Amino acid sequence: MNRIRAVARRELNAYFDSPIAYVFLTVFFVAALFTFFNINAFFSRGVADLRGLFDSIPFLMVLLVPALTMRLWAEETRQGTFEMLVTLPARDRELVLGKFLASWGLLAIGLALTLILPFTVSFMGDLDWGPVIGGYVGALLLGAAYLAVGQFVSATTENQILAFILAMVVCFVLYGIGVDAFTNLLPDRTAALFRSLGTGSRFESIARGVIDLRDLAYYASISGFFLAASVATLKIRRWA
Amino acid sequence: MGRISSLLLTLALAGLNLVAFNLLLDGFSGARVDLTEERLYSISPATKRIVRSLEDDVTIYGYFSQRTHPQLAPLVPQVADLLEEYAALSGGRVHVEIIDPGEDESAAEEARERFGVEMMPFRMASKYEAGVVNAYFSVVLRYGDQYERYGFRDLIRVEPLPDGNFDVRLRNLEYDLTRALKKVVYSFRGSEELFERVESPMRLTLLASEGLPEIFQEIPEAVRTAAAELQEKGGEKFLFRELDPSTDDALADEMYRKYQAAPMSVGFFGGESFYLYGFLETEDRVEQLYLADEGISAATVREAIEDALRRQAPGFLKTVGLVVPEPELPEELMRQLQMQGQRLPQPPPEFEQVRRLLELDYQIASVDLNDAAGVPTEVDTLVVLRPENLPDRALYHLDQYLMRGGRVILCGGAFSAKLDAQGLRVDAVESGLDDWLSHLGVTIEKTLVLDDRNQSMLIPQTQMTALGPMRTFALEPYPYLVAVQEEGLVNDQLARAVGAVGLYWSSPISLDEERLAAQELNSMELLRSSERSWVDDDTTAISFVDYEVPEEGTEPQLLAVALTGRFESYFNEREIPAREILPAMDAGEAPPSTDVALTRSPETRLVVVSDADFLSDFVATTIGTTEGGFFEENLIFMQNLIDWTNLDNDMIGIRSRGAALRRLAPRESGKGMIEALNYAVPALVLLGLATLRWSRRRNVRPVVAPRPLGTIHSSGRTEG
Repeated sequence: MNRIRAVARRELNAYFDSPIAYVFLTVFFVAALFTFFNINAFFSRGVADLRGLFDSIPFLMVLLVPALTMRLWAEETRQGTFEMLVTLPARDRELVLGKFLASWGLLAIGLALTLILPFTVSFMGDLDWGPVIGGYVGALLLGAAYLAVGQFVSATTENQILAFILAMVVCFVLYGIGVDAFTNLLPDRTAALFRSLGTGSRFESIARGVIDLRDLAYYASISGFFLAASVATLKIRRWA
Repeated sequence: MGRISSLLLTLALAGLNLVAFNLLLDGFSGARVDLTEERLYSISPATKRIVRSLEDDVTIYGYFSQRTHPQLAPLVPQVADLLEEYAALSGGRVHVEIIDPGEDESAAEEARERFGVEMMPFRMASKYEAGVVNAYFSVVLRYGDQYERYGFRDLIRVEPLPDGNFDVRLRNLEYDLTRALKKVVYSFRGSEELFERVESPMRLTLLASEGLPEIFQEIPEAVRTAAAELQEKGGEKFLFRELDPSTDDALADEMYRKYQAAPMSVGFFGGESFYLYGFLETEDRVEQLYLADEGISAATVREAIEDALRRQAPGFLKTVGLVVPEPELPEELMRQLQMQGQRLPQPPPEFEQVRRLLELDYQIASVDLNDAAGVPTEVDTLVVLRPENLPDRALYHLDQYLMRGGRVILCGGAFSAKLDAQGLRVDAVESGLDDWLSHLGVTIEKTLVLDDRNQSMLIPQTQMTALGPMRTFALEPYPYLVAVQEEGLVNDQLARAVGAVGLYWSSPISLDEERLAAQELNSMELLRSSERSWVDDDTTAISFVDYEVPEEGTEPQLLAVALTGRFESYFNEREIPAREILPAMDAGEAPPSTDVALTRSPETRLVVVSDADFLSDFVATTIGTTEGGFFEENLIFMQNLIDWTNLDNDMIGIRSRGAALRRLAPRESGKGMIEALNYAVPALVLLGLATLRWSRRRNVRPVVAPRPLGTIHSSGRTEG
C-alpha cells in the first residue's frame, strides 16, 4: 500500500512538474464550460440542471483522457527508465495501480474545477443535487475505465503519439458501441446488448441520479480488466 | 514462452469471468440508490400501498414494436421494467404482457378490436434511414371488462433541444398507471363493501325535539328507519343514538360545545324553537346531515349516510362536483347570426378540457347550483369554476353544502379573458359571491394583478421591410400572465412541489383577519405573486405589452388561499332565499320559505383561487400549452387541491414529481457576468495551485547540498 502511494505521488508530481497537468486541467474545464454555456445553451434552455455538462462528458473524456495516460509507460520506455522502474522493489501491480491512481487524481481535480457550475445553477434555480452527485460519480467511474484502457495501451508501446491515438480509438469504440447512432443499425436484441456494453449509455443511467450496482460492477470490471492487462503486458515485456 | 501463454490464458479467463459476472448481475435490479430529490426513479410508497391492496386481477399489456423509432427504443425496456415491478409488488395480482403486435397478426387484431391500440407513424431522420416508421407504443391496463389505454402522447415527453434535435423522455408513467389502478379498482367497489372498509365505527347522532313543526314531524322516523337498515348491514360498525336537548339544558350545552348545534326555528316567524340535526362522525371527520327539509325520506337519509361513509373509508373513488358557467355565444356573433336569420349553434363549453383530464382521476358530477335539491350528497369536493351572477338560491345551496361539511374549491377572479374577432378582451365578472366570501373573511379585489415575473405571449407585430409591411410574431413578456414560482409557491406540499403555477388575469385576495378569527378559521396561503408585482383596474391596457414596473407600490399579492375550520353560515340570521317556483304553479304569492339553514359547519376546507382562466379551454388550447405555458402544472395544482380537500395524500407526491421542469429564475441581465465568473473561478483555482506548487518547489532544499566544484568524490550515488 505504501509503495502504491509512493508511486502515485511520484507520478502526480511528474504531472505537475511538466506543463501536462496545467494544460490538461485548463483545456478540460474550458471545454466543459464552453459546451455547457454555448453548445448546450444553458441560458436559453432555461432549465436548472447540469445535463448540458454531463451530456458532453463521455465524449470530452474520450478526447482528453488519453493525453493523461499516453506517457505513463511510453515515456518510461523512451527515457530508458522502464528497466530501472521494473527492477525497483515495487511489484508490477503496485506500479500500475500507483500510476492509475495518480492519473485518476488528476482527472478528479479536473472534474472538481467544474464544480462551480452546480453552485451557479443552484443559485439561479431549484437544482436537484441527486443527478449532480450521480453525474460526478459516473464521470469518475467512466474516467477510471478510460484511464485503465489508456494505461494498457501506453504499456504496449514506446511511442507517445501512438499511445494517445490508440487509446482514443479504443475508448471511442467502447463509447461508440453504446450510442444510438450505432445501435440503430443493429437488430433490436443485439442493439440492447451493445447499449449495455457501451460506456456512455451506462454513464447516462448514473447521471440521472440512480446509482445501480450493475453499473458500478460494469465500470469496475472494465477498469480491473485493463489494469490487469497492463500488469500482464509489463511482465511479458520483462520476460521477452 | 510457456509463462507468457499461461499469463495470457489467465488474463483471458479473468476477462470471461468478468463478462459472466456482469451478465449474472444483469437480472439483479434490487441494489440501487436513487439520489434524486423526488425519488424520480423509484416506486413510491403510495403505489406500493395501492398495488398491494389489489383484490382482483389486473392485466397490463405493453404494446411495443421491436422495430421502432431509435429514440423510443431505449425507453421500451424502461417501461417494461416498471411494469415488471408492479407485477412483483402485487404478489400475483398484476399480470404483465409485453406484446409486439407487428410480429403477430392476431395480437394486432386483438389490440385494435379490444382496446383501440393502433400503430403510430414516427418520422425518422437519421443518416442511414429516412422516412416514416410505423410502430406500436401503448400501454393498456385491463380490469374485468374495463380498460385504460395510454398512447405515445400520454407516455412520452418530447422537449426540443437548442441544436434542433429532440429530447425524448418518459413522462410520469408510474403516476398514470397508479391512478388508473386506483380509479379502476376503486370505482368497482359497491356499497355492500362499505362497512368492511371502514376501520373505526361510524356514529349517527340524531338531535330531535318532541314538538317538531308539522312539516318535519315525519323526519325522525325516516332517520330511525335508515339507521336500522344500516345497523343491520354494518353491525358494530354503525352506531346510532337519538337525543333530545330541548328538555335537557346540560345536554343542550354539551351539544352546542360539541357540534355547535343551537335550537332552530322556521323562517322569520320566530315560532317555537326545536332541534333537528343529524351528525355523522368517524374518528377524523364530522359531517352534518341536512334534515330540516320536507323532502327527507328514509332512502335519502340512507344515501347521504352511505355517501359520507364512502368519503371516509379508504379505497373509494372520490366524486368531484364541477360547477361551470353556462356556455354562451359571444353577443356580437349572436346578433350577427340572428340578423342573418340563422339558427344559433351550440355554444362551445369553456372548461371541457379540465373536465376531461380530471375524469382520469375522479368521478366527475356536473352540478347545477340552481337545482332545487342543492348539491348532491355524493359530491366529495365541489369545484366552482368562474361563478357568474350566482342567484341567491344557488348561493344558499353552496353555503349549505359547506355547512354540511362539504369541501369547496372556488376559482374565479374579478375579470375573465375572451378572445373574439376584435382580439383579446377582458371583462369584469360579477360572481355574486362577494358578500358571501367577505362574510367568511375573504375579499377578491376588483383589480388585475400584474407581475414582472410573467409568461411571455406571442404578440403580432407589423414590421416595415423593404418589401412593405410584414406581420410577424414575437414573444413578449406580458405582465397579466403571472408566473407563480419559487417563494410565490407558498405551500410546500400543494404548490411548491408543482414547480410553477400560471395565473392569468387574476385578482388580488385580501383576508379579513378579524372575520377569520371570529369563526376560528385557519388560513393557509398557497400562491403569491412576486415582489415586483402590482395591481391595476384599467382593462383597456391589457392589449399593451409595453409595461414598466412602477417605482412604488409593488408587493406580492395573495392569489390563492385555503381556509380550514368550522365556517359560519352566511344565512345565519339572514332571510333564506325562496325556492324557485315553477311558472305553472305561480298562483300569486310565493309560499314563505320553510327552509332552516344549518348555521355552522363541522371542520371542513375551502380553497379560493382568484382566477378561473388558468384552467379554461381558452388557456388550454393557447397560451397555457405553448412554449412556457403552465396549463400542465395548473392541472396538477388543481388535482393536488382536490386531493388535499379529501385528506387523500396518496397521489399528491407522485403526481408532481418530475412533471415540472425545474426552471431557472428568469433574468434579463447578468448572464454574461455569471458566465465569466464561471470561467474565472476555476482559472484562479488553477493559478493558485500552480503558484503554491512553484513556491513550494523553490523552498525545497535539495536533499544533497551541492558541493564546491572539484571536491566531488565518488560516493554520492550509492547512499541515495
